[in-house]
Amino acid sequence: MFLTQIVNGKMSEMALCEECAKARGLFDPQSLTFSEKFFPEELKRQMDRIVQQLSGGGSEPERRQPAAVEGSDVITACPVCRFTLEDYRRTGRLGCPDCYTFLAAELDSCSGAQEEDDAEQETAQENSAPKAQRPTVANLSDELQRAVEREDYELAAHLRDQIKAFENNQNPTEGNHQA
Amino acid sequence: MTRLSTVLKQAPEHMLEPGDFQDTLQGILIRVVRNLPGAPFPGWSTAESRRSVAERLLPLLPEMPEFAQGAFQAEMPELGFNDRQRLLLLNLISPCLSARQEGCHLLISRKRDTLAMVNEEEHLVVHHFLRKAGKHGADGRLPDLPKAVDELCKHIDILTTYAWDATGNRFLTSLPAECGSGVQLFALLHLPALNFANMTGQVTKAVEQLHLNISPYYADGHDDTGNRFMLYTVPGPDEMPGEMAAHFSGVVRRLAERELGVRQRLLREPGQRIHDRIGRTYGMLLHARRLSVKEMRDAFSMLRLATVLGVIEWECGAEAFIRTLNRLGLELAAASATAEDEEAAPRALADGCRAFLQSTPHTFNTPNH
Ligand SMILES: [Zn+2]
Ligand SMILES: [Zn+2]
Repeated sequence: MFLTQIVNGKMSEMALCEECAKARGLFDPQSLTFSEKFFPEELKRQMDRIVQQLSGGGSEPERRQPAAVEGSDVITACPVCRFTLEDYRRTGRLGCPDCYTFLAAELDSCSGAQEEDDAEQETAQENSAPKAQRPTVANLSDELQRAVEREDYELAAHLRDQIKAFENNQNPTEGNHQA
Repeated sequence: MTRLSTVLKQAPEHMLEPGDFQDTLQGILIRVVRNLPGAPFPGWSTAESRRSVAERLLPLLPEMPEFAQGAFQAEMPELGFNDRQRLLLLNLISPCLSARQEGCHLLISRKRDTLAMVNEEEHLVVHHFLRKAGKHGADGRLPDLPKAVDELCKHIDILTTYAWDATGNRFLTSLPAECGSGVQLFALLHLPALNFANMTGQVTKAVEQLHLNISPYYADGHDDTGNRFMLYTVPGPDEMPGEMAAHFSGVVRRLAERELGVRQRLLREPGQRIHDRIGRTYGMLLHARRLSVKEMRDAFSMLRLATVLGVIEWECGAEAFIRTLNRLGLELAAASATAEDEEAAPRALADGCRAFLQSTPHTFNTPNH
């Protein structure tokens, strides 16, 4: 809950929302360093670079779907804040109070899955969760872009890490990424 | 309007005063969360929607009696790195809010016992620290927690209409599992004997069975720094805040009593382990040339224990000594946190501790058994 170790004016990586993390198990508090949170402009630049690399750079010859907007998820988006069930499965949180009304039925059906997801979160990449749609780099990068637009850097950093892990798994030998 | 410098000048009472139950219970924190209907939760918001939430809440908050004597108020981008550091160290901001920027606001009451945070994890988060039980307590030891919770909620709920689910009879929060009363309770505990006797694992299991959690107070990877812990309720459905508060009070009391019992057992122990630890700590503080913040916190915890046990007697009296020690600990930690020179910081810390001990008249009572 309370932070401590700052050396020489530099923030080392530390558990931020220890209180929240421990008490409520929300986002991985380690996914974002304190300095990243303090200087969101720098983080935004980093994220923009990643998004650009993924969409423009063409390093991934992967079949790309135009984001989560097509298909079944359309019905399950909250009309007030556009939060989707997919977002809920990933974060365990909701977008706005109206989500409770609009996503009510689906919430019940995936609340059980949610807990398992939490437990698996760290290894979710290797054996991607069976009930969730298998993430692709393209999906993740779209989500990343949306997260950056919303200034949700916590989620953005999480997605960044997922993308990194995903790429490492998918292309263990490929060396053409810019580090 | 209260200035930041005024707020930062002195630590809140609960951080300075010796704790209740012989310096065991440092303070109790009531956390209340509420959301506004029709607006995205802070974790899913744009700066624009956060601003509009702030515009709805900020004019209302000064109406709370907790802020009647004035408050410091700032939007997060106005606070610099060092300001946030100090605020965190003094419990005057949550770690969550300290990392946020545009559209997120902090209010601190003049007395430093109440914070209102706009767009923290939920639209409105209020932290209220209870004053020492002695001044305010129904039974002379613990504050009347159910009453305090009830009053605080009333002050918050009269301000406006919050996102509320009438069917489920619950306040809506960004985490579905946390919908309910929106009240969470924390007790800040100093448990040197339980920790010394390696009983914290046992304590953790016991409080979990009571549907509570306990964790280290400092989140720096050293689990037991300064022997400080916090006990807290898990937010969730179907909680009547009054009942929860009564249950919580009971556990806090039992935990404190357990700590006191273990202290007495350790004092009588033929192996003199606790005397050994106190003596070593004392020697270290007098002669060390380099100290880390963790070493200082652990050592100060032992000094506090030695003081309430009468192992060290201070001419200024136990209460005054603990107050001064607490203030010094905060100042040294803050100085170390913002030190320019990484190499010099541990030396400055050791020098500060040594000078303090040498200039504070006292008697060290060596046990004669
Ligand atoms: Zn919504
Ligand atoms: Zn948080």
